[in-house]
Amino acid sequence: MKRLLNPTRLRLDWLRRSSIDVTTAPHVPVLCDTAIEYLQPVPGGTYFDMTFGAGGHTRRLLEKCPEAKVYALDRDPLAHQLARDMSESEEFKGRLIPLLGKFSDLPKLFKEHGLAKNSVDGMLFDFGCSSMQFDEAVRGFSISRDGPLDMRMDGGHSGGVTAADVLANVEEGDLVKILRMYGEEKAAKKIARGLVDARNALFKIETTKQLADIIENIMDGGTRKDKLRRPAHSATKTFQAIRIFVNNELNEINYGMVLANEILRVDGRLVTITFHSLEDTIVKRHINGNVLAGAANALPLKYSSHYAIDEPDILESLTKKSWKQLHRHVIVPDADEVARNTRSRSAKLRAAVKTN
Amino acid sequence: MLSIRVLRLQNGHSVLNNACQLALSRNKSSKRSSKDNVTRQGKIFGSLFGNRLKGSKSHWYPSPDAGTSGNQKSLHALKFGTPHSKTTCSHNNRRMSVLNKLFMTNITDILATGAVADSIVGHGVQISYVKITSDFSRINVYWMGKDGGENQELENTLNRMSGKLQHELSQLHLMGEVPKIKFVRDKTSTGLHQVHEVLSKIDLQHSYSSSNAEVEESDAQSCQTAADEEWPEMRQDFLSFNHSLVMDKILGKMRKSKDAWVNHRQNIAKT
Repeated sequence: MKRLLNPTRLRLDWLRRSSIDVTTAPHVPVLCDTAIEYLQPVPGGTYFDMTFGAGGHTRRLLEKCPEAKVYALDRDPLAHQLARDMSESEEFKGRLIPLLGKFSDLPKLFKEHGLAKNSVDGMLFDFGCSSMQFDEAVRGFSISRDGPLDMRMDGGHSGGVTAADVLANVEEGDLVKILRMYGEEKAAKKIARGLVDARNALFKIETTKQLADIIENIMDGGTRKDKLRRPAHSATKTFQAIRIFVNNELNEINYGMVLANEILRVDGRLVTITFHSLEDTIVKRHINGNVLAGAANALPLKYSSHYAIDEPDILESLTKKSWKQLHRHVIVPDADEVARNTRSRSAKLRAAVKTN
Repeated sequence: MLSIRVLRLQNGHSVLNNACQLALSRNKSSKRSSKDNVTRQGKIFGSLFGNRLKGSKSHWYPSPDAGTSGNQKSLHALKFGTPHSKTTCSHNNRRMSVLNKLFMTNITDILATGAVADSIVGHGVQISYVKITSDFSRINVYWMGKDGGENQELENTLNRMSGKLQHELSQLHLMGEVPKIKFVRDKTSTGLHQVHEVLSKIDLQHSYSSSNAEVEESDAQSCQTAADEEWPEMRQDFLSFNHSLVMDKILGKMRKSKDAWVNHRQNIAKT
C-alpha cells in the first residue's frame, strides 16, 4: 500500500514545488539536458538528430551551441513539417537542415546532400513513438483513444501496410512470432488464436478500440501493473508488437547503429535514448561489440565461445569494439522527471564515443 | 437363448464345460444382464487362452527373452520410472535439461581442475555439450580436440577416466545414482578444422599473387573507389525473425484479394 502512494506523492511534490510555472512550462523532451551534455557540441560541428519528433533536443542543442549545424531526420511528415518551420524561422535559419526518411534512407540522403562518410561529429537517437504520435487518435497508436488502426509512423508517405491490413492477412504462426518476439507477450498463442478466430468469424478489426476490446476479452486474467504500479491495459504489449512490425522498428534501429559507425568520425559521439528492452538490447550489443555480420548477436556475449576459433586475427575481428561507453551504468531519468512526465519511466540513455 | 448356448458348448472340451458351469452359477446368484454375462465369459476364456490383462502382475517384471545388456537397460529404465516405450513426457524433458546443465557445469569443472585432469592437460580437450539419454542410463559427453584428425589415444584416455569421473560426480549427489559416462567425439569440429585448412590454402595462393605490384596498386584503387560509395546492407532478421519474409506474405495476400475483387467486377460488367 505504501508503494502505491509513492508516485502520487512525487506528483504532488512536483505540483507543490512548481505551481507557479505550470502554465508557462514548455515541452521538455526526455533526458534532454543529459543527452546534450553527453553530446558535447562544439562550434562548427555537424550533428545529426536522427529522430526529430517535436524538436526539443534539436532546439536545446542549437541553443547551447549556436555555431553548430544540425541535420534533423524523421520519418513522420508532421515532424518533418515542424522541422521545416523551425529551419525557416529567424533564430535557426541556415543551421537546421530538415530531412525526411527512415534510417535506411540515410545513404541516399547522404548522396543527395553531398555529405561524406566519417564526417559527422555527433548523432542523437530517440527511439520509439513520440508523444505527438500517441496523443493523436487518427494515427492509431494509442489504446485509450479510438481511431483507425493505422500505426504507420510515416503516415502513409512511403506506402506500406496498415496494422489493420496486417491483422487481416497475417498467418497465425507468424502472428504468434510477432507477438512473442516483438512484444514479449507471454500469452502470444492465445491472442493470436483469438484474433484469427475473429477474422474467421468475418469480423474486421478496423479501429484501435475494437482491437483493445478483443484482447481484453481474450486476456481475462486480471490487469497488469506497469513500472509505476499503475494498472496497465492488457493490450499494451500487443499494440507494441504490431507497431514494431508495421514500422520494422528493430531492424531499422539495428541498421541505424551500423550506419552510425559508418557516419561518425573518430571521437565522434553517439547518444541513444530507448524506451523498451528490445531497443536497449540492440543498442547495448552494438556498443559492447557483440555484432555478427552487421546484426546484433542474438546471444549475449558470455555464451559465445572464444576457444573454438584458434586464429588470433579472426578472434580479434569478432570481438573488436568500435565504441567506448561514456558511463558506467545505463542512465535513467530521476524521480522528479518521472513524476513530471510519466512516459519517461522506461527511458534509458546510453552514450558512446567511436574509437576506431 | 442361454440354453442354446449351453447346448452348443457341450460338444467342446471338458475344461470349457467347467468354465461355463462356473459362469452360469455366478450368473444365477448375481442376476445380471446377458451383456455382462457375455463380457465375463469373454474375460474368462481370454485368461484361459493365455491373454494377460493390462493390470496383470507379470507386466512389471522384465521379460526373460531379452539379453543381458537389454535386461540391465530395462531394469535401469524401470528404476527411474520411465516406460518401455521411446516416448518421453514433458517432465522427463525438463529433468533431462536440468541434469544436462548440472553435469555440464560439474564435468567441465572436474576436468579442468580435478585430479583426473593430469592425463589430458595440454591436449586441448573442450567439452562442447553434455547430453543424458532419455532413459537416464548413460551420459554422452561430446568433446572436441585441438586438431581435426583422429586421436585414438586421447579417446582411450578419456574413456579410461570415465569411471573415476563417475565416482567424483556421485560424491556431489546430483542424482541418486550417476549413470555411466561415455565420451563421444563431436563431429562438427572436424568440419571447422577442414574450413581452416581450406582457408590456409587460399592464403598461400594469395601470398603468391601479392608479389605483383601493378595488380596490388589497381586493387588498392578499386578498393578506395568502392569504399567511397559502398554502404553496409540492411539486415532484416533481428531475433531470427525475418521481417521482409512475413511482409511479403502479407502483401501477396493483399494483392490476391485485390485481383479477385477486380476480376469479380469485370465479370459483373460482362454480364
